[in-house]
Amino acid sequence: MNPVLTVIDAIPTGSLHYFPAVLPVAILVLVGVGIVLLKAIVRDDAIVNPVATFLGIAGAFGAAAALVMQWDSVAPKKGGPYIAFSATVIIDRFGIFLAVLVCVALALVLLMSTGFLSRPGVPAAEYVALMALSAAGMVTMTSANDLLVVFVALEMLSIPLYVLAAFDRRRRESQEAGLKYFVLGAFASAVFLYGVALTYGTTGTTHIFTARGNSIATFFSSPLGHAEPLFIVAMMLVIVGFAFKVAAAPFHMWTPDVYQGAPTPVTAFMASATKVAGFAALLRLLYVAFQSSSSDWQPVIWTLAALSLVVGAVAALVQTDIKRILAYSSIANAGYILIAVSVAQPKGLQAALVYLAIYTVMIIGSLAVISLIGGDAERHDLAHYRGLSRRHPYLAGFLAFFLLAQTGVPFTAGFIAKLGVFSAAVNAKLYWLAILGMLAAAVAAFYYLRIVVTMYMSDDDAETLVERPQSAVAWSVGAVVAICAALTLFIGLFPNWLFDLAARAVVKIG
Amino acid sequence: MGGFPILTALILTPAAGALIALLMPNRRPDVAKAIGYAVSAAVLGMSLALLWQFNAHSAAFQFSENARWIPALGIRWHLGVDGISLFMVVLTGLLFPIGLLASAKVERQKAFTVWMLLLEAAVIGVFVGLDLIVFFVFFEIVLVPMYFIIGQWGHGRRVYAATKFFIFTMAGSAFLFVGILALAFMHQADTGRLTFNFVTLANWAPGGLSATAATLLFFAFGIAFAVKVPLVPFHTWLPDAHTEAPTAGSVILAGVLLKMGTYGFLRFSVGFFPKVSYELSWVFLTLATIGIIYGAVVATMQPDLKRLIAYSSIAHLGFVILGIFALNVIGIEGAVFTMVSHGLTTGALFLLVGVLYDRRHTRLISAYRGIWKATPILGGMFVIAMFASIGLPGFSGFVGEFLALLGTFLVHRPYAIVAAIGVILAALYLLWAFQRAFTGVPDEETAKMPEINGRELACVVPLLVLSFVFGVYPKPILDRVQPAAACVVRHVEDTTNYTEPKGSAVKTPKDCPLKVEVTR
Repeated sequence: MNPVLTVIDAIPTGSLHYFPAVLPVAILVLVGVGIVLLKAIVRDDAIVNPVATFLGIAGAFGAAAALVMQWDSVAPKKGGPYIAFSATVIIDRFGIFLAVLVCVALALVLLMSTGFLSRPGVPAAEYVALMALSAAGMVTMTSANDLLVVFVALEMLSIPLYVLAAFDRRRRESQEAGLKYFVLGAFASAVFLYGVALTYGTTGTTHIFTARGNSIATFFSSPLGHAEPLFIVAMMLVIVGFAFKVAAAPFHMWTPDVYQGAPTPVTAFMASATKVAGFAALLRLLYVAFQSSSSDWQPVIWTLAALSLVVGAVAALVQTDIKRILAYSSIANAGYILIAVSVAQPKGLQAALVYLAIYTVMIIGSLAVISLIGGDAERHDLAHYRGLSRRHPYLAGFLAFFLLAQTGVPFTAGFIAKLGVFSAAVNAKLYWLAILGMLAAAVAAFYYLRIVVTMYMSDDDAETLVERPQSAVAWSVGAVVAICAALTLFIGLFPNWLFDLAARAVVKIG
Repeated sequence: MGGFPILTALILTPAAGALIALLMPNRRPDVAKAIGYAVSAAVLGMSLALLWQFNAHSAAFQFSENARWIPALGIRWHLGVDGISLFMVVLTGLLFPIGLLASAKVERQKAFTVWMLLLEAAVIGVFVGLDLIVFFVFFEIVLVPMYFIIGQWGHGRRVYAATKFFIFTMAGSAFLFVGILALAFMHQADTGRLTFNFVTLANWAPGGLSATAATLLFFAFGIAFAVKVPLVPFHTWLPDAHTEAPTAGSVILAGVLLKMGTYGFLRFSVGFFPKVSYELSWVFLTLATIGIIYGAVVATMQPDLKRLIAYSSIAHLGFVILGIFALNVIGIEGAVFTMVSHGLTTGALFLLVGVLYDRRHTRLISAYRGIWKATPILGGMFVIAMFASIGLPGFSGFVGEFLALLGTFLVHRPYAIVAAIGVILAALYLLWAFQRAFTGVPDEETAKMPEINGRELACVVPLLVLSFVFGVYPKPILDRVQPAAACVVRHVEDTTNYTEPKGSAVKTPKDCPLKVEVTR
């Protein structure tokens, strides 16, 4: 058996547990549906809205708790991972790690949404419900063991996001973002589905891995099934579908428009949780289902990584809207994660998990600050940031900190993330990719610094005073900023626990 | 040494000081300023204590600390000093209080103090870090405070200069980072142990690396350091950064930041790749010689006093590289001595130009006439600093450059002969500038210029006094550098067929940290 196969705990040894397997998803779905029902019964927004936000955050914590409780029971020495529902779902530490990440992102994003939701005319309850349902799809994605479940999860997470992207009905850009995301997203789903069909055509199964019986992984590690051309095509189509979701070049075209147009908290959700879910499925497919064809998909991932790094770094140079800049930076970050993915070794998987966790924290923190600076008017052009350090030293300070962290400055989590990725790449002798990544980081430093320059080294612009959001709202968004900043610094100083955790999430069995 | 972790304290004290200063109210910049003085003075005190307790006869890394940091990646909090890094730490300790004192009048005093203290912590970290990742982390983090110091408190094209500085150095360290990781993982593949420990890797690398790998890695390290030094043709960021930086920024930049590059060459490039360093020493000797002549010629043509000194730095650092790649004890001693001396003399020159700028808001040589007559003390200080920088016997500049040239002469005569011209050119550009701006009858505006004040004198005088003291009596420094330098040379001898020429042979100390097991 190929050594890569055992990287993710794919060999199910644990006994069946239907209830715990479905509990996290069930909690999120119940929260989503419950909020909609509540809204139908109690029609007073003043009551429903705060309750909905509370339920959403509580649901995120509940789901996270349900996941964490299983962390020990699926440990290699205890029960090991187990499959459920006719081998369509697998519960292992890899999935739990990423699903918890999704829940953390959900809670942070809901907390930072309070500013947006308090605006007149924004249906807060529906917003929270949609986000919870989308998160349910993401959690499903992290534990999917069947291509069809992957597809269902993909749709479950995408459809609410299409609506959420268009949620700011006052702004035309938001509606445009929603439509664009919907059209291109549906197209990507179709491409993925076509890949699933072709996979089924060549292997006769949609199971990713099962201990007994037919599955994609076992089919191709058997002498019978050696990669036929049709299967290569299938694999590429599947990869393309996910390259779209994680915003990797050249399938990134939607990213700048959608990130810019969507309400800022929704952008944060897409940049963090959607990426996590997309990579969860991509990693499981590449490292488990297609593990024996790694020499076929590795060059594809290299290309995607290199393109994402170059496009993300270069295209951001000419942008003047901060959310667009972060969109391109998000493309570049997808490139870094893809470097780790392309390694096809346990170390790469570990680095990808660490990077995803760190990026989630950094991007939510950055966008929380940006939503405060942008205010209700949603001003995100760089001109608005001129002289910000004099008017709002704390906001400017936090944003500068997050930007420097994303640059990869040491003693911030951003450096640790890059350290992990480049360690994995260099260990696998992918020197050119590592050097390209570091040079892209130097170019990226330029556009992050441009924002810092605008805030700190340009003269004050009297007319662009930031409207102060209401104090209660500012407090909750401020809490998100503080939590993310504290985590970014803490992980930057003491990253070992995160590496350990990620290592245990990818440890092989017995 | 199991006692007080003085090296960690040297890093954490300024960092903690920066944090405390940050928490002070914005309305009271004087409080932050006082914290800055107190903390940097405390660091100076600690660095002097370090100097005092340092065992001059030992070549080993002293005051070592080695604690867990990121075991998942084999990274340890490993610090130590030897004779080479000791004086860099002390120089850092000395220049920061002076830089802060010289900046007593800058705007936004609190933020300035915070950045300066963070910078100090980072610079010390670079010189004492013996784990490659610890070293790299500090090497990189230095950029951030320096970027803000240039960009916020600099002159004219400060944003351009600051950004250029950041991007150039970061692009350089891209290769260093990949090089460090590659070295460590090759070591792991060979021995099964993942470590970034300098001593372990330096003992393994000469025998363990293939010739190709060693050459490629040598260049990966070399590019990062060459940008930092800077060596021609990687120098273009330096004149901009030096010129646009505020006075304290220039002093620190020239005084200690450039030395991070030469220190990197001496410690890491020669340590890990002695064979390649020896075989390719001609590359660096050539670039250094070009830098010496080029820096001097371009400096001559500068209309801007600060730019002139910036280019003179390129020339001085050329001597340092020359001394290092001469690969003998005299050359390396000269290199380290020049590193210290350049920090003192160029620091003083930048401070004095800052004094002029504060009074007249221009740095153009043509804007001044007869400064000496108008303000005799300021003029006198400038003369002394200038002669110290030229390398007049009796000042530290002479000792360092003489030793570096002597070391080079022993093994590579042509380079030494050409480089010696640079010493003459140094006299030319400085004296010519001096003649234009300082002599003659003062023009109207220069005549009204106030004399240098007590605070400014307090910044400049210690540097000049030290330059004089070490120019007359260099033994305290040379004695401590010698064991470490001898070990570096022996490390090269152990791993190549190179033997040091008789003229400079020094008995190798017994406790060299580097003991190569496999020789090729």
